[in-house]
Amino acid sequence: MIRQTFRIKGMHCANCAMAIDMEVEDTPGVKEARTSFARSTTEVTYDPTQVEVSRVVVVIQSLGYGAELVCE
Amino acid sequence: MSRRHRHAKQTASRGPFAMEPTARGKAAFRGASGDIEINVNGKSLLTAGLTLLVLVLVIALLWRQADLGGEMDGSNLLLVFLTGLTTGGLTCLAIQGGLLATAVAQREAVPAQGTSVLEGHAGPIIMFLAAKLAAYTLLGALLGLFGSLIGLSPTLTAWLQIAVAVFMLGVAGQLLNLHPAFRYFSVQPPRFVQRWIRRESKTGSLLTPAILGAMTVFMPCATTQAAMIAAVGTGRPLAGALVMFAFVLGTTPLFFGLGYLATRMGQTMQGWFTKLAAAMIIVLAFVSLTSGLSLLGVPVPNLSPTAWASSAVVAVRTSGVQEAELRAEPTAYVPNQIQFKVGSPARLKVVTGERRGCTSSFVIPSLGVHKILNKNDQVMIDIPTDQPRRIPFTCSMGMYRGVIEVTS
Repeated sequence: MIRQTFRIKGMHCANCAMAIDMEVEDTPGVKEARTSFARSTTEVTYDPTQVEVSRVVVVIQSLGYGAELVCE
Repeated sequence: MSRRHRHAKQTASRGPFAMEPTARGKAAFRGASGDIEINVNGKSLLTAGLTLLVLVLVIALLWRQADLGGEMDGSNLLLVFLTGLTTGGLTCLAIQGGLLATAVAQREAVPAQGTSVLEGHAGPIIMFLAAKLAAYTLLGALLGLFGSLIGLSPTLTAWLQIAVAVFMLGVAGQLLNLHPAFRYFSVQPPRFVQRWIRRESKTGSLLTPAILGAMTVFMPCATTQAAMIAAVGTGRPLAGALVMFAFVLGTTPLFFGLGYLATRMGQTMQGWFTKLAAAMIIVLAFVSLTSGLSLLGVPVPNLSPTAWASSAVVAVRTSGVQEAELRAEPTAYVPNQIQFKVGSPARLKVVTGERRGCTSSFVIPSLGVHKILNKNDQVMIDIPTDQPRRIPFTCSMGMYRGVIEVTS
């Protein structure tokens, strides 16, 4: 399992963060997603053998938000 | 699992949801990868309209009948209702619209058992919104009770109102997207609640719409949180319940049809609507701030229409004591300016009539006076006249104000 942070654009309230968490966690291979509306970030814990980072970005984008991996 | 049910399940957790007009007079909650259509036919709209009308009549009756101890009057509740109607509806629609769509989708997946309204398309919407209204009203009562338990002194009320004002300004800043820092004024629901909602949204029981509606109480949007603080500030269960009832009732029409119109208006109009909502919150914040400051004894201008109705009254002298009468009417102190002369002892007589109002809880912050009057009651308060000064007085919520002037 690895944990990576994504910067999110386009959230307009805390409930957007909840919607992102619910959708990302429904993706096979993702263990946990923690989105912070205040910081505009999502921390995703996932299994890289089951899901690629680009898939996580696509899932978030499919909800109408911008998403990009934060290089740590 | 039927194809329809699977579709509903897939769409259940998607967001943001938007209501869009579709063909044949239907509105659809649109997820990212599919649509859930909700029939908005004549019968549904009529049912919805009648339900709203009944609710409005109930709240109007409560306004007239309820003796709220004067902490909250009809005009304040109307303002709360209007805030719900504009800001609350918009800011809450994002995820709660999604939950509503989920509730409807789950019922759509179950074959219809009958033709009554509650079993038709309007049923889940009504169940969802009624449960939401009931849950928030109960929450309001609990918040009001909490406010009464922590024993809101005028000073504590003042600071609470100032906190409410700051919070509201923060929410307005967030709505206007002034700076990312304003996002910290939004509180996210705890993780266990998020998981609970998610689990419940995936079942298709008859009560699911009602359960989901009630669960929205755990995911209040920023504007709802401001209303919740206002409910605590009332310090009374009934007043707290009415604040939340009025607010959530205000959000209700949007769930029925305004989302449909808002989408037709387009993004530009929605942006304009949000700005309007932010402006209303700023007005509410200003009212809360001036009330709080007034309770702390800070002289603030009285902007209420009744402020101009009465003029200064000079105390009359009887047997060496200056005496003036102040009538605590339901929505004003009459007069709101009283003059005493420096030197001889002075007494202020505060009287109430048949109807109590906010004014029956009388506070003089600088003298540490806090008197609660009943109907047809009166109280005498000694006013120090050793030196010229201005002594502001107010109701215990800081809403109605006036000043005692001791002049040479």
